Amino acid sequence: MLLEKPHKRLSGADIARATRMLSGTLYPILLRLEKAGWLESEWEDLDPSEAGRPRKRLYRLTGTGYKKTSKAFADLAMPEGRLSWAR
Amino acid sequence: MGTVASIVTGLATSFLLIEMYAWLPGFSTWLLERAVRQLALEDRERCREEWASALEAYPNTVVRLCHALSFLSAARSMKADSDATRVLAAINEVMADRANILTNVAALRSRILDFPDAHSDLPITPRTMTQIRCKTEALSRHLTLTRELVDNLAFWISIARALLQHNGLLVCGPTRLLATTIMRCSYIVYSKSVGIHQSTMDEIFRDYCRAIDEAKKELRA
Repeated sequence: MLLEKPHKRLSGADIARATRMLSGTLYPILLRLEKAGWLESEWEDLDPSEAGRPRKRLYRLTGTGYKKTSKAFADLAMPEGRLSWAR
Repeated sequence: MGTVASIVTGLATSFLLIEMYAWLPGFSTWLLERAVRQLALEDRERCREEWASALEAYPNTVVRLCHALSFLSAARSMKADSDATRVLAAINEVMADRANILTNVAALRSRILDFPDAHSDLPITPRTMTQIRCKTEALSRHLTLTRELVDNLAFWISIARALLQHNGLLVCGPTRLLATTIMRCSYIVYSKSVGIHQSTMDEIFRDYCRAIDEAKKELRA
């Protein structure tokens, strides 16, 4: 989903909901990807006391992350002419 | 009598459910705080706010509780990563002075022991330890290694193997890197100390890789 809209910033909860992952599985992965330079993150522009809720941390792919993720997906793609379960 | 009992049971169940519903947010927050306290100091503030906002995104149901519970395992994993990164830096510092690596064996050992998981939490089975010890004993007779070096080699290989089997197979990252670095250290130290023949070290590594492959197969099964 980050690859489809590389400029869109998504919170961990958005990603967890879309991927159906538990937060405890997702956040260490996000942190590792961020430390590896694939993702960058920033706090949402919001005053928690005014909004009455904690700020979200928003993630998006970096240039490196975009290239590496695209390559990883390309490597996973089934070569043409081979049998596949997908229709 | 039966009717009274079912009314009382119904009331008690409703009462319990209301109480549980009321306590759920507090319990989730308590779990979150407990998880945050396991993290390295520099990660705590960020994770506290980020994870709290993640919990806010879910309704006050068992789903939120499950996510709160999962933060405990997240914290353990992140703490291990952060410890591994710190220990890796320390090991690399010692290894930078390769010319004097043999005089730095004790320093290297203490840096490796700085990784908390190296002490007791790893699943080093007595059988694994015995196998490694037998192999290194045999090496020691053949190559007249000192007792200390034999102990260190057995110790390092067992830590690295256990780290890989415990953490490294499931996820790549600093913990896996630490395990391979420890293996590399033992390789360098022993090659330098007694001029171990390359093929002998390769044999040890082949054994080690075989054990990893077996563990991978078990995991896949």
